Amino acid sequence: MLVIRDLHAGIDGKEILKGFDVEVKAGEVHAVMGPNGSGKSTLAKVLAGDEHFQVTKGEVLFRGNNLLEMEPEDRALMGVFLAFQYPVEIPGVNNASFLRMAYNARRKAAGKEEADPLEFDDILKEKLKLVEMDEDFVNRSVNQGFSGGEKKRNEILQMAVLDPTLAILDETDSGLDIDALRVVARGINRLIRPDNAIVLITHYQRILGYITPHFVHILADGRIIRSGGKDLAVELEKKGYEKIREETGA
Amino acid sequence: MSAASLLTPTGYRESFSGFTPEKAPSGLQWFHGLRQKAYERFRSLGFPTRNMEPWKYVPLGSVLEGAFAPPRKVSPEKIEAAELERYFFSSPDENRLVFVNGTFCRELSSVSGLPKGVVYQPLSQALASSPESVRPYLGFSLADETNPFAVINAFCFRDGVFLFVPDETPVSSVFHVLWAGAGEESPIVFYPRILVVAGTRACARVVVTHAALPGADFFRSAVSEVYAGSGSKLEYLERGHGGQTKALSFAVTRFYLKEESALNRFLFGEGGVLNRNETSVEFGGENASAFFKGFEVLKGRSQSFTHAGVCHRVPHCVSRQFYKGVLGGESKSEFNSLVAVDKGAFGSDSNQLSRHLLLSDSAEGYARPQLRIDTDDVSCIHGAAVGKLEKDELFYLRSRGLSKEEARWVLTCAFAEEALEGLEPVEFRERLRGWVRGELKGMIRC
Ligand SMILES: Nc1ncnc2c1ncn2[C@@H]1O[C@H](COP(=O)(O)OP(=O)(O)O)[C@@H](O)[C@H]1O
Ligand SMILES: [Mg+2]
Repeated sequence: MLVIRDLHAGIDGKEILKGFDVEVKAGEVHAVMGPNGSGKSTLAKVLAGDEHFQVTKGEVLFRGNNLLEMEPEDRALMGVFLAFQYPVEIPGVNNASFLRMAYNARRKAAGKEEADPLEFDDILKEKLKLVEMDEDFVNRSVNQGFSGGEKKRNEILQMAVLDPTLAILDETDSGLDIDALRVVARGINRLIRPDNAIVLITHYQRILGYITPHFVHILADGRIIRSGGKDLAVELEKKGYEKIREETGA
Repeated sequence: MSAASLLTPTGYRESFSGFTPEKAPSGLQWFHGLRQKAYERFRSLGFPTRNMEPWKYVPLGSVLEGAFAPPRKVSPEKIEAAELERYFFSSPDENRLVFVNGTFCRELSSVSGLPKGVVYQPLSQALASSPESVRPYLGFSLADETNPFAVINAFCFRDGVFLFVPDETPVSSVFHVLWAGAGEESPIVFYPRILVVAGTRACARVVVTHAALPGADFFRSAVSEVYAGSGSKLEYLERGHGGQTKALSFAVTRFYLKEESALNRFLFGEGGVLNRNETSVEFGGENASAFFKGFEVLKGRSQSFTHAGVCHRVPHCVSRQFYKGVLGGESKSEFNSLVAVDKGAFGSDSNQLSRHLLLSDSAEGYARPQLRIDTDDVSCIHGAAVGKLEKDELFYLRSRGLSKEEARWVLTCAFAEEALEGLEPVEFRERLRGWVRGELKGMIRC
């Protein structure tokens, strides 16, 4: 589903990703773990199409398409979804209408009929239940005045509404209390299907207690220094990033 | 010699040399005296130059060198009714006075069911039937007037509106004044004038619409004087539509607020070639409040200059200035606001905020908030921002599947929404919102 080969990317002439490779197949969950500043968010944003970052080398194929040549909205319409590490607040844009616009944009792209406000209301209610969010949240401006945890839940709500093929979750678990973590994990687990894939970017092993990855990759200084199964996360938790880095000679 | 014969075909500036104001049509001595006084004031002020701060950026040439004829009487049948009707309210609570090219248009006006003692009629009629009710207020701002165009209006205006709401009288219906400018053979000049007097604890809601009809080509120089009595409540909403016309529009609005009165002033503008709007508030008693909210949508080569001044002369008054502008094309907008707090006006509370949103690289927005404080124990806040749509916000929306255009539109509407929310009457807000959203949709395609 997703193939990344020798990806080099950076910002303002500074290289952050230095040869990132991965292959994600349908039905798989990949955890990407790495210390602060290792380039996790850069990877996520490059995949979503953030123009701030420049790709200097390598390629990214999503279902056979050259992802890097596509506009952010076209990537989204093809089923790529990024849950942001720091979701932006958008004053004056109603959360519910925004969600409906996004939902309908995706329906339209899939050649399906758009949902009217009433139909969408039902869909939204059901998804709100899933992420245990109060209806109040959708009547407010997008993320405005939301707490850190509420913003993360809102990302998962959007993900649930848009039902992506490839979800990239950038530290969605950070800063969540145990209840919120459970809710977020449940939202993510719902998405694990044979035709979907998830790239779970995380700093801690904690969320992996709720979501079992098929692969774990350790990112350091812009490239993967070790890959393995779910046990790698446990090993990492014990040894720490520094130790693993030393062992791999990276 | 009459003003009319001199105004054409020479330039506007030129037309005032060797000029004497015509006799006031009503033949009232005091009224003639007022015009004479205004004329003398104009003589000492002269026309502004671009060396003067309030005129520094205004392309005055288009007015001063422009040749404008006095308007003819436009017959109402010649006006495309639909052009005006979209500004009318559907609610029967609207009391409407309509003027076309400065002349009262009875056929399009409707006033009924006013509470006892309320006067709402063309100034010409008020001067003819009850001049003594007009006399204490007309020209109250003249003594301190520094804007030469406001002074010219005082001795050139032909007609206007007089609204008088007596003490202890709340009026729930809307007073709507519509000044329409329609095209004639050559460019014209006209001088709208409004006088509003709200008595002690009176309540009134005034909507003023300035509309340039398609093909209009005029210089409009308006003056409004608004006197708010003790404890009165006034809503004063104004919308100016210059559209794609060659309209040049200057307007001066002077508010005088007595103690414990509350003013809500909203000003919307779009289109035309040149707009300059000057609003000032003077507090004449303690615990009064003035809220000013301005909003503009400009495109093409429209230029607009909004000046708002508040003078805190007495203690414990509150003033708010809030301005927003959406600028596309090669348009240009200046928001110039001044808050002055005099010695002894302790407990004054003011803020000045403005935001220009630039939708194109060639649009220019300028904010010039100024503060002059001569006393302690005051709260004065100001802030100004000029910028484009936030890239991170655009990316966020696009990453959810909204097209670039949709994302721009959504964010631009959100920007506008803050200026529109809470406006009343609801019909005024909804109509304006509808217009704004449609206009923005066209503007974001770039
Ligand atoms: N907008 C930016 N401008 C400059 N440097 C950046 C920017 N974003 C990220 N970086 C730098 O790139 C490196 C990787 O950042 P990031 O991808 O956010 O790491 P992570 O998400 O793994 O913590 C860091 O050194 C960070 O300072
Ligand atoms: Mg990060």
